[in-house]
Amino acid sequence: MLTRPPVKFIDRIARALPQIVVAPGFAAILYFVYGFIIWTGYISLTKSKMLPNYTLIGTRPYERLFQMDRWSVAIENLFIFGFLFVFVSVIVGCLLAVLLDQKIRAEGFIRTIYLYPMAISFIITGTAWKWIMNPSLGLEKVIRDWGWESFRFGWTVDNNLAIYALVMAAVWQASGFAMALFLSALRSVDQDIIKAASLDGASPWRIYLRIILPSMRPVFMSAMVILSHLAIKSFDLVVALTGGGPGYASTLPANFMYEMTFRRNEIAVGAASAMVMLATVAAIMVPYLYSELRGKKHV
Amino acid sequence: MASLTIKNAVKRYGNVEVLKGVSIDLRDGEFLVLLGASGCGKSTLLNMIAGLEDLTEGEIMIGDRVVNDVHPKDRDIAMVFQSYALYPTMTVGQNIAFGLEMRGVPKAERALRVEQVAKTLRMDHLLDRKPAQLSGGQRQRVAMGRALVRDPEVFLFDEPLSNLDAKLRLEMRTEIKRLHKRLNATMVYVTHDQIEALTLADRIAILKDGEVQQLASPAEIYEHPANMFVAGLVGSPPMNFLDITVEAGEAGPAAWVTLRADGADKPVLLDLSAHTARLDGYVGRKVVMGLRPEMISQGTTDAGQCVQCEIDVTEATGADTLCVLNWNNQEVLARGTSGYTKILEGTMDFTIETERACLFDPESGLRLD
Ligand SMILES: Nc1ncnc2c1ncn2[C@@H]1O[C@H](COP(=O)(O)OP(=O)(O)OP(=O)(O)O)[C@@H](O)[C@H]1O
Ligand SMILES: [Mg+2]
Repeated sequence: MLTRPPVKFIDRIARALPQIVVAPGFAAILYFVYGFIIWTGYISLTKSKMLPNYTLIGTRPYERLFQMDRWSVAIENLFIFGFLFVFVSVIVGCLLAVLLDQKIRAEGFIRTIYLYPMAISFIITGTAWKWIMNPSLGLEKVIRDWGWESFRFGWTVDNNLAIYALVMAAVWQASGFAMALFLSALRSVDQDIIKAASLDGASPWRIYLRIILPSMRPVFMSAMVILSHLAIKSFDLVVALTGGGPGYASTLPANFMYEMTFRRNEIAVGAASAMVMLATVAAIMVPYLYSELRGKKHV
Repeated sequence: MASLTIKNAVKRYGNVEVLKGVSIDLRDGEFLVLLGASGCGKSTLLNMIAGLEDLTEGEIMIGDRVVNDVHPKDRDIAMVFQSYALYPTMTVGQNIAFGLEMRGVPKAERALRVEQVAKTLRMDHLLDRKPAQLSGGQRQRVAMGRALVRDPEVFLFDEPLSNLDAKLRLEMRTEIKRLHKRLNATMVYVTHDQIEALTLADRIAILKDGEVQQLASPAEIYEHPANMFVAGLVGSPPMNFLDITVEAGEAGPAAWVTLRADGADKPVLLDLSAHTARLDGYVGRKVVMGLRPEMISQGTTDAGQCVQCEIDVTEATGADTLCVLNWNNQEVLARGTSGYTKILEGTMDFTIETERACLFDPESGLRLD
């Protein structure tokens, strides 16, 4: 009769190794991400002010939140900023990629130049653009010194334009990244398809418009998701470039949350704003992820 | 439809000469197959005809128009790619109609012609699908449809069947043949499959390292290969090459071959008197004798010289059984009886049709004529 050889201890470890390796990270994510989401959700229903206080008071912090003008400005800003930032970055990145795709010389060099801003932190971008856009020492001064006396470029100090200054700096930073993403997608298009289209009589820009760009839909999606989350997270850019000002004209929800929680002793309202942000992101991301993951099955 | 003339086409990439002066002349409605090993420049030549690559030197004419500087879309050419190159985001119908749309054909007529082509290729039920939802054979058919719908002067095919499985390849091969017969269009077809070449072509151009080795009809290529390269490339199983030394026999030239029979080596004098004129001046020199497997048949007939030799191994392929013989310490393939009916082993009679043998100069590799 055959007896089964005893499973060696080392074999058992080897078999369980993947789980063992993943476990600490998994536990950390469980605790620090999901644990704190639950904690924040709980705090947002309490009467916490300067310190966490666990007495529940229902949805009152949310009511307060939505009565605040600062919050509605922040939400409105997020939509303006997010929408413009994502679309302008995608369009600029796409155009740059198409231009770079024309087999030009020194392509690697140019690509690197466009890609570098992504390697810089938003704080530095913000500071640099703050100087550039500062009326008394930036672009405005330079052009006035050249002789165009009436030139104005005071976006950062204008109530209505400050948010667009943010868009400009963020686009400058992210469009090179979008370009790199699109360029690699352009390069992976089957050359035979392009040849076939040109035999079919399509002009180069028609080939891009009708054949290549539509086939890059998944890349557009990825770019939009990555850029959207950058937009929602752009806290540091606001801090460095406009400080949320003038007044609170260019605040974003993340800045609002920070302001309430750590400066104005309104922890519950801060937590409530964090929960609203989470819900907004989830409302955008969940359907997207759902359709993408489902779509994968029958392609 | 139109004729196609390639005059002394040269293509260089930097210092690398990929095509070294190719000249091919195609009649209106002729089916030409470009056959050659991988990397010999077949696709390059095809792309040059299509206008997707520039010529370094030489001239290409469609009809009596020189098209060297004509844009691909104005050459009135359709091409079927090895990868099919279907537009992934368009439906089958849109794929087929795209060429017409780019040429400004009105929508109603487009729909009509797409429908016609879809019917010819028996894929009317697939028109609303995306390429990703099709099988390999169906994709291949869409690629053909895209070429057909434009009704061009010249069709180009770049290994269109190489991604299909054996059975489908056979089917599509017949379909292409039928299509050519019906359309009577000028077609250039690239392949490295010699069976495809032999079955489809009106004429075959055999390429090696960017040079045409032979341009002739399949029968001519099979029976009278211009050199050892062509002889070895075409035919399956391949031609046997025997190194022999020509001697002066009684009736004309002859050569000794050592056969293995009944467990011993036996020299046999092969009569080459049918090649007397060809071997003039070769007495005492080495030549290469090319014998196709079917020129060595089993049994005694009066088609040629009968010898006895021992069978080393047999390989049954279904349709016929191949015998591996041992001559001059070289393996020689012979075509035995057909079917599995008889077991072949031991020493048996074989008839060698020396008359049909090809003789090559061992140095230049050219056939003696
Ligand atoms: N852009 C290029 N630069 C340099 N050499 C090239 C270039 N394109 C092709 N070649 C060379 O030209 C030769 C012929 O290429 P081609 O694609 O015509 O081969 P082919 O006969 O179609 O081969 P296959 O059967 O594998 O498709 C190859 O040796 C290849 O390396
Ligand atoms: Mg090729």
